[in-house]
Amino acid sequence: MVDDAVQRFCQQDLQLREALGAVIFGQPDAVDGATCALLAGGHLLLVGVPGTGKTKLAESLADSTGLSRGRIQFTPDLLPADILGGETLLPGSSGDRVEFRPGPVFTQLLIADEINRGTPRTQSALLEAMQEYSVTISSHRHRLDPLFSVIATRNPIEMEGTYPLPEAQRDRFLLEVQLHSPAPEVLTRIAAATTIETQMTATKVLEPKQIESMRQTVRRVIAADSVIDRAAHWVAATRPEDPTAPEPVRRGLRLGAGARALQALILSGKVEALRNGRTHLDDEDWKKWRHEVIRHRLVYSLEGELDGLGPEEIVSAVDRAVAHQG
Amino acid sequence: MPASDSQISSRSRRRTPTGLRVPRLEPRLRAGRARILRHCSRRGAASGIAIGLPLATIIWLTDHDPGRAAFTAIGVGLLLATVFASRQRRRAATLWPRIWDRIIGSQSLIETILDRQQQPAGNPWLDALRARSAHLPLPSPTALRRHLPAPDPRPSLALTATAMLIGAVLGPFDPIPEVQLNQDSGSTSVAQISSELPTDEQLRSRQQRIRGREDAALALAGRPALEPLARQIRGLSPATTAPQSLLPRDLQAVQAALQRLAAGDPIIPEVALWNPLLALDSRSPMVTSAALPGDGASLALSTDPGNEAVTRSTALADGGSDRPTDLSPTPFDPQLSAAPIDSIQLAGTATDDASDLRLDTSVVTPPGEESAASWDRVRDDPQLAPRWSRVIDLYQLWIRGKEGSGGG
Repeated sequence: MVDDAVQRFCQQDLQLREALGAVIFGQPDAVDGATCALLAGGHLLLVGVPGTGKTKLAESLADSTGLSRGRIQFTPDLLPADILGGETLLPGSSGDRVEFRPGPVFTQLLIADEINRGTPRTQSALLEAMQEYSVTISSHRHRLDPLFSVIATRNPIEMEGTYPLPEAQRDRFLLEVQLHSPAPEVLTRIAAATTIETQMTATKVLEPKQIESMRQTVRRVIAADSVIDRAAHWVAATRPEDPTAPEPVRRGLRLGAGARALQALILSGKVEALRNGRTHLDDEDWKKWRHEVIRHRLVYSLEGELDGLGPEEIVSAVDRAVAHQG
Repeated sequence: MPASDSQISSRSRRRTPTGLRVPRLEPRLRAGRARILRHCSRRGAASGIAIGLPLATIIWLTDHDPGRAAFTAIGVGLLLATVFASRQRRRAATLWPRIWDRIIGSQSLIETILDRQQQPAGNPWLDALRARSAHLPLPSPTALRRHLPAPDPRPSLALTATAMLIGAVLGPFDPIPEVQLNQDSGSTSVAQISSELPTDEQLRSRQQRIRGREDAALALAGRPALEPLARQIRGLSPATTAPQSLLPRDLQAVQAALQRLAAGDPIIPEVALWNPLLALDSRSPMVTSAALPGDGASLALSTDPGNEAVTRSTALADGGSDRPTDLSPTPFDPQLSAAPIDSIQLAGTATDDASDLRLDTSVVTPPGEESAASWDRVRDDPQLAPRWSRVIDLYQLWIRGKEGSGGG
């Protein structure tokens, strides 16, 4: 039974990735990361310069899984009510009544396009939804769909009219997946596939029910305390105030990873363990997505920014420090 | 009735002789663990022997008693092997699941099974995991040796060979001389050492000399002009030269210091240099006139009260007057030449070439029965220092001049 579940998971996961790979060219790592976040039940932040297929990947995820989608194009004049919805006064024959009209957040897959164009106030509207899977309006709590996930896109280059994401919101994204500029041969494929009469869309290979089942399977993966302990020590070493933190972390970071980062490491690691056909977590599993887990959670100090420290240097330093501790 | 968590916990745990509580393992896990721990113990013992072998060799080379050397060397080797083996075993006691996982390539499987060993049955995922433990491949000795190789014996053997080579070149280490006190063996070392040691008399003499110097230095205390001399007596500074002039009290202090110095102290002549009269007394061959070859004629410092030097000396001994003692030569006074000469006085500082020696003609011993031949004999003596030859020449010149002028 267990083997069947693992086998089924692997098969469905493979189908999903193939379906996405058919429309997203030259970004296999991004596809793997996006599906990992989706199956782990987390939110995904897609970062890349324009033309790398961020929005296409988000929409294709919805297409291939059959999940209901809501899309918000973030702009500076966007208001929280435009995302969450609000109560509207409706005239009626028996008198006026106030009715709650849900916003686009009431969906299974919310695509927040160019999220950093929204004001911090608007961005903060998503905090409760992303963490609690509910929205509170006029003291009334509205439950979101259990399969609710946010897939946000962000352009790292454009600074005009953008607002940096608050740390609290960034921490709520399970992974930050980066999409790189495609190579010339990939560009050729993109041009050939997108300049013909038929529009290319991802094939629906899964049902929402299957996504829900896959998420449950992920949660069943057994993680030994000792493995979680090693992951926790790794996360702790990214904090500048931690005694085990290596020198680049102490010098270059103002804020390291926290508890949500550890949850993200374990959940994404469990997805990876299942992909490898295992029912238990290994160190290699949680290490697979450690870059994507902590990349957006690190807050650099002035010295770190001046020195041009990046997540790669931090991860390497933490890896060495943790390995040295044994 | 399902067993409670505490019952399961008590059943699945047992106490080891060391008191540590470890979960009761599946037979296969236990077998694998024993195999890994055994290998780690052997590896630790090998490390201990690798370190102990050169040490044992050095012990064996340095100890002259073969039986004791062998016993100590084997003891050291065994001790190190035991310590290292138990240390490795203790470390492996917590790491063996990871070692096993690494060997068979099961990523954290053993670790996870062991971690969830205490959880009750019922979770199909966990049960499936446990079921796999019955089919786990045991870590083979070959795989264990490949992943946890024994320490390289070459450095240890090289060190041992080096120790043996050094031992062969240098020979057995000599015993410490003080340890061999067997006088029946005829060893000369004890006699040699005894002869080289100072005798009690020498030690006493040395103590007296030191005490005498301390007393002498104290006698000079409070006299700034004599501070260099005091430091010289204490051995704090090298030989010093006396100043041109000293106060009578200073001279008196020098005299007191000289009296306090132990007899035979080699520093006496140097201290005496600070008192010109004593310097002459101590260094001039005239004081040892008997040693002078000749016909008995001698020059000696007269103790006649009329002698100026003696008068000065006596005055100094009595406390003297606080005027600097003039050590410059007295100019020749022709009027005094007619006066009866009772003695001859030398004034000046004794130097090697007697350059500043002058005859004080104030009082001169009459030639009497002194003959020129006897003076020549004395003067030509090879043992006589050149300055005394010069003194004799001056004296003879003076005598001749006196005779020539019709005096005396």
